[in-house]
Amino acid sequence: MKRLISAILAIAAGVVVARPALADAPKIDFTSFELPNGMKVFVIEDHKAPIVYEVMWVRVGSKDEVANRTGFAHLFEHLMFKGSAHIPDGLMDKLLELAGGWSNAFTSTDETVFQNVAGSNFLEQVLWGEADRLAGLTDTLDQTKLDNQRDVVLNERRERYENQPYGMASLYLDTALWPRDHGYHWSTIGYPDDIKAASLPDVKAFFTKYYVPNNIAMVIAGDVKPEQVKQLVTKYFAWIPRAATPARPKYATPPPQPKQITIDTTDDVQVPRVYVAFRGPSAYTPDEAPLDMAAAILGDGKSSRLYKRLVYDEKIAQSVNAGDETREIGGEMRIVVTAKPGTDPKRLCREINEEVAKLAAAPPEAAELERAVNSHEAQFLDGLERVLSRAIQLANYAVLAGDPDYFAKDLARYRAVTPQQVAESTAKYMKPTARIVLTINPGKKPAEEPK
Amino acid sequence: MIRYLAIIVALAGAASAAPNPSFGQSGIADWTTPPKPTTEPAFAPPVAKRVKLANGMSVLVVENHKLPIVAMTLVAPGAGAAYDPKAKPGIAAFTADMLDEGAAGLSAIQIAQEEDRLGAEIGIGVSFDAARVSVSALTATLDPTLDLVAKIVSQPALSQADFDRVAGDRATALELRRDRPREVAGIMLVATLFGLDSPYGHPSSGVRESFKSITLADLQSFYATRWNPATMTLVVAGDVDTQKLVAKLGSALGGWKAPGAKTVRFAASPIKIAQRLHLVDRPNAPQSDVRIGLVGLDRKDPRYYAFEVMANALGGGFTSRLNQRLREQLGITYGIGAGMEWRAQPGPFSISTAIVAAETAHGITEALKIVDAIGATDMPAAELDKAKQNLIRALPAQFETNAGTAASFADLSLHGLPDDWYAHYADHVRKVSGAEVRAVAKSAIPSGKLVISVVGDMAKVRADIDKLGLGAAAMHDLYGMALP
Repeated sequence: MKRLISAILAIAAGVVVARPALADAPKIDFTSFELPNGMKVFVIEDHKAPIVYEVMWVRVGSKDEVANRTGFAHLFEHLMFKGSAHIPDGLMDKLLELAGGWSNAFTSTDETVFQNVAGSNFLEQVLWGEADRLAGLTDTLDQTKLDNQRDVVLNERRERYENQPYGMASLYLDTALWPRDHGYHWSTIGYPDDIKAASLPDVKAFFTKYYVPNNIAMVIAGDVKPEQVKQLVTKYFAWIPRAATPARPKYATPPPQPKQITIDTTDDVQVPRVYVAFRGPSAYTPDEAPLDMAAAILGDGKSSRLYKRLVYDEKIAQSVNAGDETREIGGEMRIVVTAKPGTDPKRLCREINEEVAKLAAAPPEAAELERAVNSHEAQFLDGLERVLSRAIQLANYAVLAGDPDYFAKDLARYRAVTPQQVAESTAKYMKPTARIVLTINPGKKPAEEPK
Repeated sequence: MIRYLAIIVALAGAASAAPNPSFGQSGIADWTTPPKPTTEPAFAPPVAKRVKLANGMSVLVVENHKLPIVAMTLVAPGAGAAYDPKAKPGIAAFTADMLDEGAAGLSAIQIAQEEDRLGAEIGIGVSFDAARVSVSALTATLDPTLDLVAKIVSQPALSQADFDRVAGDRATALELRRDRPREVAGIMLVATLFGLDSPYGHPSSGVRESFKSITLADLQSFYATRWNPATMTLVVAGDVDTQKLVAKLGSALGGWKAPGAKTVRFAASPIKIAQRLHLVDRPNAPQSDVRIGLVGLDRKDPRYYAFEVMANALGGGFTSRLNQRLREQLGITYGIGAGMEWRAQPGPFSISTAIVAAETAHGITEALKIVDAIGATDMPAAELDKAKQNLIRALPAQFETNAGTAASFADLSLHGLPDDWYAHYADHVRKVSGAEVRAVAKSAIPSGKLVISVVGDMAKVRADIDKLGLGAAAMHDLYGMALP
């Protein structure tokens, strides 16, 4: 079955891909160039729809924040939409909507990624708008705009964390998984007091340091011609001066956790939820693919072991989920189980730990791993269908894997995972002593936040 | 369009009083005027081939050979939540949920394993007018995937053991609804507009109070009478050969019949609204989940295009009036949107947001003012153009994926619209005038008729809300059910 899907991907290669059918693995077609100021540019040509996608990947995230300014990278992301040197607040969004498109962005621990979408005949307008804010965001930024977006971000925090059932879980896990002096210790959303303390000089300093061409990878994708993109990107971005390579905080790999950390807290919810989390490997390191497959086997979907045991057979859990999130300098392996009313969360913890131990002790059957790999590959292929997700994936490969031409290699490493490696990675990362066990019980919202 | 840009550019000049001197080094003389778009690219929506299987099932095929993948949507009209028996809401959704919990001798786990092995994903759910099966498949395993889909939809086990297990999961999900204030605010609004016991007014997953009365026999009967292949449409988009596909579908699904199927009609008439203000007290909630709405238009209303333009400008995108005011100016929300849920009969129109607790009443006042304003004057040319072009130029994105294409055609079929409907969409939108936008706002969403539902900390928000002049409030419990 696995080989069958490989063959399919090779056929896919014939269409989106440079080397046709005989190639053993897909190669996503793209061109690239680097401006003299260090900005890296990638172009994916795909004329299926008359749309252009622009992705600007800036290498700065919450791990680069300084003391008492948590949440700043994300707050800054919001300010990028409030007008720039020659473009008043709101105009760029109006132009993009007029062009049938939209704009958005996301911030993580390691990067801030902006996306502009428009009808393909608006390519130059998109680049003009992006260049104006990259060269002159702070020219027109004032206290009113900062105050407004600080309030918006505090509302976002309420909507996505404070007023969500179990919404504070990731804050508890981040603070417990990573030592206080590590950049993943605080969540990207940040603490309200720090968000409120952000000032205009902070904004200007951050902009000058990180929003520089040599800290950016850009992808232009869709209904475009590479030579036209090169000409226009050069026109709008090549003049922006190169800056010093941002000197960012450096973090050592934390020493292994000596023993299990247990956290019990409450929230305004009806049933307990248990989180079992571990530090995991960084993105694109050799352990990533085997541990991803371990997560899938343990708790991804109705064919997973934890679903079968806790939800299907024993009916003591309402839902299970497991995932391995890998980032630039570390990762998190997380299992989440929501109890059925009346289930003792301690029983859930015990049974989760038993299933982890089983997988660590004995490699899965070949057929079980094959299902996990096939499902992963099918999702990967589905992801390639959307030009925007292909563009973001390419930027991710270029920056984090150090190799934009990584689509085929990415698939290959999952195909190569062996049952033995799944067991080994489980044993290596999901040690009992390395566990964080967080239980959120029904009760009141706690007054204090985890710090 | 030109006039729109000209106005904005004039503003731009005023706003950038202190231009960055470094822009002088760019070699670009004019940074202030947005570069003009090049020639508008041509776009023609995909064309679907239509065939009928022996059992009456309609099949629409859109071939797309870019990637070796296929997406499918099967629409079962009449199997949606509007067809729930009156005293037992939730049967349609429960039935849909049960189909892949055991079928043709396979257990739920075996079905899930088979999907993974084939690299396929099968999802089943309901809207109010129909049930839907969505499938993503690989070309290479399409035939076995179709066999699996056929087993699920035509030979579900509907066994007592699976029923008991899934009933437990669904009952718990209903208990947990209390923890999801956003969902509760929506349920409360829609129940107020149509009546909790009406086809369009109940939550599709049901309510705690009556859930336990649902039996396996109810589901078996719903499946036998409502899942009728003769009235279904299957849309297939992707890397297929139409001829081969139709032959395969003929053998996999063409023999499926539902001899007990019945056609049922219902009238989703709005009810008389006694109270406009509906509240849930959720102590310590840092923000209030707010829904503001009324019964709008049906999908075939001639004012459809004018309404869509109006809704786009009111609460469709980031630059909509509501989002600009409540988020970008006042900073009291993370976002606010508005739109129609288009159904076969008039469905709910609603404005949705979460507002920081202290500003709840203020936010409601602002939203109502904005609704008033959009019906008070003809929409200005620049804004009208932005909304119309946004709708027209965003249409191609809907067909970027096979799943999007399948869902788009399934939607037409469900509403009895012609297969070439999208080809004429842009022309219809272009014709909408500022006066028509004003007229549809005035007639379809008069602010005085809007019902407001709020889930929030009443200790913080109630006093201000009472001053809004919306009349006496009806209180609901944490699940959105009316309190005596």
